[in-house]
Amino acid sequence: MVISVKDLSVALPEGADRPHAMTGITFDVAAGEVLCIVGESGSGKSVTANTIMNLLPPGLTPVSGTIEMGGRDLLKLSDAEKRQMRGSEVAMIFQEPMTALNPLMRIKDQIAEVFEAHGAFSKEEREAKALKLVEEVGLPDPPKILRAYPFQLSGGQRQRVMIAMALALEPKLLIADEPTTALDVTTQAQILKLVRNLQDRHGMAVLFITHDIGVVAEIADRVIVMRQGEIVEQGATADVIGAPQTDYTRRLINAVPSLIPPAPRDLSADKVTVSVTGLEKTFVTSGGFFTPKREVRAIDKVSFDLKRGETLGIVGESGSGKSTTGRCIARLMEPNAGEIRLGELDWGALASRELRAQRNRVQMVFQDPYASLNPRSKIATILTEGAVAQGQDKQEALAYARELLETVGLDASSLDRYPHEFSGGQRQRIGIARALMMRPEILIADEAVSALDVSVQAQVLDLFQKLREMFNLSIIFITHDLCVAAQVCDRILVMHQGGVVEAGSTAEVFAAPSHDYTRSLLAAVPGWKDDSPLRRTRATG
Amino acid sequence: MNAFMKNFLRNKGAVAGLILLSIVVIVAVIAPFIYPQSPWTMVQRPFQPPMALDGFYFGTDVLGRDIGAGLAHGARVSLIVGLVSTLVALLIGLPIGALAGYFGGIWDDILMRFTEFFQTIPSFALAIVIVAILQPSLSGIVLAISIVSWPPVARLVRGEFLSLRSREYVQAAILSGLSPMNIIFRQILPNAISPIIVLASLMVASAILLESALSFLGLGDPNVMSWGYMIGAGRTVLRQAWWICVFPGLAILFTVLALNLIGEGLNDALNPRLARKGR
Repeated sequence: MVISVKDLSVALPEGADRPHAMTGITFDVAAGEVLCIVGESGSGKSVTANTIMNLLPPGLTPVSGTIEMGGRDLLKLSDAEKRQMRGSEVAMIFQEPMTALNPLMRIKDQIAEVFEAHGAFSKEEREAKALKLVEEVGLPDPPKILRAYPFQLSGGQRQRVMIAMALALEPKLLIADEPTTALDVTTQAQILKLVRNLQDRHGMAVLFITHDIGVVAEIADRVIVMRQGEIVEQGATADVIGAPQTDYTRRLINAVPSLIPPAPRDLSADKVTVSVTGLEKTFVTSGGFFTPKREVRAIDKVSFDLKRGETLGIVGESGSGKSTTGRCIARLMEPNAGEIRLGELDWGALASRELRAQRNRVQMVFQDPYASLNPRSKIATILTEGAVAQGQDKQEALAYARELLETVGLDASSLDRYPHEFSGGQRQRIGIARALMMRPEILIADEAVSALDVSVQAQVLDLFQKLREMFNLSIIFITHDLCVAAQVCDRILVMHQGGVVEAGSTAEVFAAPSHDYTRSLLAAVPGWKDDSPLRRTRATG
Repeated sequence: MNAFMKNFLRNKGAVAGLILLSIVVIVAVIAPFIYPQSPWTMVQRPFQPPMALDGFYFGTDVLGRDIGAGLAHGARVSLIVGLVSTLVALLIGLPIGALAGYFGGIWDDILMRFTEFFQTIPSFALAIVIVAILQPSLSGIVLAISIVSWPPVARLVRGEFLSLRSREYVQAAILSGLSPMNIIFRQILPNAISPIIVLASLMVASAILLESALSFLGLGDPNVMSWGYMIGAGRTVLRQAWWICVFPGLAILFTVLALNLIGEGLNDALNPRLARKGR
């Protein structure tokens, strides 16, 4: 065993919602093995990783248990020993490759710093080693990467640099805390493969923290399922995901949206409500004295129709222009060219005064449930101010708000409370109710479930389906998650670098993708290979 | 007791500042009762040191005026000038910053160039010029101080608005068909108010300093007694009669210090995440 954790408990400060961040945690990781800890937010999975690294935030203290590694208890080390242990024996990679690197240092110096901190090698050797590491993690043109600053690299490249730094001193254990969560699906697939390859080559133990069951199915040898600070289930991946023993694990797996789309609905009789033709948007950064103007074509000739009661999914990776398309249709952004029609109305050409009067027809649900509600307003104000501004009577608006809150599954008494009193999922429901208050015809959901835990995500997706039927809404569902798109969308638009590369009914696109890019996207979704335990469990229901 | 008060009172410096400022305010309020006579009246022989005569705890100045009366009446002037000029500066700076930050583009360019125009002129020199043009009077001084102190407000408000206007709740408000004025004042401003309050408390302090400096140069209102004027009048006899300058100087020091401590306390209490550890 590289590391064995026994009966570990970490106390939360007084006044928290439970006494322990996690309690009674026992597990081992062997060399050459990937152990995944999976759980929803607040399950204590990151605290477990941070305890091993001795990186607990103030207020959290280990109260019992041992973490044994190489014959020593990591909890009993002196500060100097801890520093020695970090990097050389246990290394860690983090979720945010954007903030985990020092923006003012060249990559070369950041890697060399790891050696320097541990007094390893001479100056020349360090440089040679850094070059070798950068080559090993598969970065293109290593000498150039070494001279680059972090801002010149993409997210995936930065994560590769982080991995190179973690590998620098050949640690026995690599802890990866949600290392692919902030990455696009194709980049994620590459990073997962890289971690696997490196592990085979170096024979280290890997402790992989994630919330994504798909990632677990893709990479783990063994898996631990955590909930509210306790281990619910552990075992070999094929067993736990292929044949879950506990209710919680089963629910967690069943909440994962399936990559297999349901049977298509018949929508041929419905009227077209939105038609978009040749939409274009170019962002221009104004040049300075010494910098030339830069033009970025965010969306290029996007056209589609949307029927009443239909859900159109716009999928793509970051930078594909899917959000920009949504914002142009909501008229939060002005497109450079193209036509947007709502029925007979030339929506794209409305002047600002007329537009404000008709704004209610197109509404949006946003991604971040914590930023989409004004923290200084009560829910009553948040819900009714739009309707009141449109000339509705205040009392009537309040009555409708009460009704809608119940429809989205919240208590009507929520009206007198402030946003911070609600959880992420509840806030997202409030955001949906706010959009519905305006009695819209078209609802644009921009990554509306991406920030939610899978079980909450499943509930909110069900809510979208229910509301679409209740209000006969046309929904434009913007997402990077192909599984989510497969479940809720009737038709799919695949976007890549501003253009539409493929469009068609969900069943067709998923069963027989015609474009190479769509194929690569589908292949990159973790955990859904033909023989994967996740696919087996979900196929049998 | 709410969380804000708790956070504020945890900062010992802020509590000390609040106590100091309360004393100054009380003295300013009761000045006409403890010193019913005008502070300009000559009531005793000149150059009496502190405590030399009964009832003249702070001594008398070159013309035999009571320094205690000057201190008490000067407190009123200082506080009024500080508060009113900060208020006027906010009234100018807030709308300019808000419009520039919210609408951006050409509006931002025009309003910010206008702001920079004021920022490039040394503020004290500009204040002297304005007072000289307007004739020294209380309202002229207030106006001069406001005109030189609004640009930082505009820049701060603009910065806050720039970052807040791209928040999703603001976009949701736009989609609800709310008017730009409603969005600026009801959606964004309440969320930008904390740093503005902190800045305002520090502006009161610098306004008091500015007024003192103007009075010291003889540009104060000749009809009101002010701390700056007292220092200016006593500076030629500093070596014979130290008390004429020292007491009003200490009054300015403690008032400004109190306001700065309060400002820092407000900053910690309103931005708990930025609050320094170990207090």
